Amino acid sequence: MPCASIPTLDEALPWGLVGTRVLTVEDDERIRASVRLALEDEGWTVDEAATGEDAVQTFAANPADVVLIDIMLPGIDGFELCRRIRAKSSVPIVMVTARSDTHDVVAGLEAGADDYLTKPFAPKELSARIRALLRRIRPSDHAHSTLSFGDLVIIPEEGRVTLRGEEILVTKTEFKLLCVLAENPSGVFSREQLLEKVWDYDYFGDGRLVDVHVRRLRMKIEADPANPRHVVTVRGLGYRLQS
Amino acid sequence: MTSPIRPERSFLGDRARAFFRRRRPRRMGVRSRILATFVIGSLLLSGVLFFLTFTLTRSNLREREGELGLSDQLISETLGSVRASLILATVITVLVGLMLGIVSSERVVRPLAGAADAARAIADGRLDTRLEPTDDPDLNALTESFNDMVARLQERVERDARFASDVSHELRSPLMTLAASVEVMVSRRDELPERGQAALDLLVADVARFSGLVEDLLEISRYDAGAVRLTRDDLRVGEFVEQAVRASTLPRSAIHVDTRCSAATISGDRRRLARVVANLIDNARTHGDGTASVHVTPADDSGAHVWIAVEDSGEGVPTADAERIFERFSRGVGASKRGISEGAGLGLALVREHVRLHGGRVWVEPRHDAQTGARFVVELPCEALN
Repeated sequence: MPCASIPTLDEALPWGLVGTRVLTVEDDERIRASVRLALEDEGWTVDEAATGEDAVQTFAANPADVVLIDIMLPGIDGFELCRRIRAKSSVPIVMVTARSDTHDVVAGLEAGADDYLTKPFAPKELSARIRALLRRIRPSDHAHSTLSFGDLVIIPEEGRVTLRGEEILVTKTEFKLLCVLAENPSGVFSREQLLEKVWDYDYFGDGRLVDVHVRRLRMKIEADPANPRHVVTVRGLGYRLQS
Repeated sequence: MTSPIRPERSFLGDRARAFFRRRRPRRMGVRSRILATFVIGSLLLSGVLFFLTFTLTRSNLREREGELGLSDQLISETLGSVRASLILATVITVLVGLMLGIVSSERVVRPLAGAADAARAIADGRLDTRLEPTDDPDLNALTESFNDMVARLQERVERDARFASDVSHELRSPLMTLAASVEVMVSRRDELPERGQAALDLLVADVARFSGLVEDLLEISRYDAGAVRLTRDDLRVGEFVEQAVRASTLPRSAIHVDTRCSAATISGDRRRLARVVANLIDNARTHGDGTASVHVTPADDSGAHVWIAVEDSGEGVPTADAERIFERFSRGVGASKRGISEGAGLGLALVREHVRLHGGRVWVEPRHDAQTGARFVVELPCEALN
């Protein structure tokens, strides 16, 4: 079971979590209703969708801050829905899978999800995940307003990344990952450290989150994702960001 | 379903059969019987030929002895060479019979050996094993009915395995609703009257227990379906045990890590191994006095294995139950006495499956110090123990 350390209120409040809007995509009406009750207890606004098609429309009308998607959906499935939302938005997406050890998790992450939960999960776990995904990385540890790694430039204040001057669209979590790696240039981060810093997971976080996100990031910022120059794997230790 | 095949009733009485069985203590195999038939057949055949040829030749010669003026010496010489060639022919016939016997008995037995191998493979769990179809119509009946039987068996086994998994999957959705609704009520616990609070507390505890049981059922049905894939990492034993204990129901349990193990790493699935530790601690909590202590020591001087032992201060496990308690839904000895049903279930069975998949083993023994209590030991392969 993934356990998450819940961020304190101080961390959560500056990001304005009170007005957070969550879109729940789930075909079981009763689960939807109960999850809504639990999330509303957090002070969040909850939109509901029973199918992927519904979700696309609801999201277009009222863009949510976080989307929760059950993979098993009638009509277009969770993976496809994830891809469609991802094509338009960098919104954090949490996948709900039936099992944690199948291909589903990796497929969901590759379709663009930021994190996943396994059914049945406690709503507390869900709200902890949502808080972790919405928590902003503070780049203020170093005074630089831009961080340059050769042709790769990160602008933490604006949440932007450029490659050879051209803007690259990254998700919020990919951006956080980049910022954490950039915190200590040429330093190596283990998967455990990245899980903790980016996702707020403890020792029992799933290392596949890091691996798939690194893979996704490489597709966007590397000229040749198979031979990465920026996000480099350090065998047995972890990952490093370099020029 | 076909009815079981009834053994044919012999026309001999039981006593007579017993008599024959006594007279023939060693029964012959199919191969020897075929071989014997061929040898005896060829012997009989050549014996008859020998007798007929020899007597006919002799009487012929005797009849026309005077007519042709044959001398006695010539006749006996002729008969002698006829006898010699007939003996040679007999020997050759028997040898040929023997060879044919060997060849045909092999041909008969080979498909049987194939069927035996296939049956053994099926018993070992390779349910997709099938017999090769042959063009022999007599054997085809056997092959077809065998394959048909295995196909049905496979279907049945898979259906049973799927059932547990399907049931648990179906239970997830209502559980989800229960867990979420209960949480909403918990945040309003103070608004409830006292009796309502007591009922809510029971509900909360049992929803958690129910979720755990469904999780365990799903996991064990994954093992039954052979669908468990480990996500392995190199885990530092000391750090791992500490984290696993901290995430368990007795996070403050004492942990003793032998200094020789501090640098050892296990290649393992951290969440599954954490469940192993958590389940053993749960077991210690429910069967002892509510405390557990964890000891990490090298298994021996070779440094190839590490022991993670969880000790409790309960009544211990009698030797007779040492195997049984790792079976599914077997209740520990002390549990029924105190009316504790918590944890009776799949906890220890899952411990055994997880450990086995990691190439290790688990057992229970009395504590090594003078105190009463059980000591559950998990032995896992490790690296760089010094």
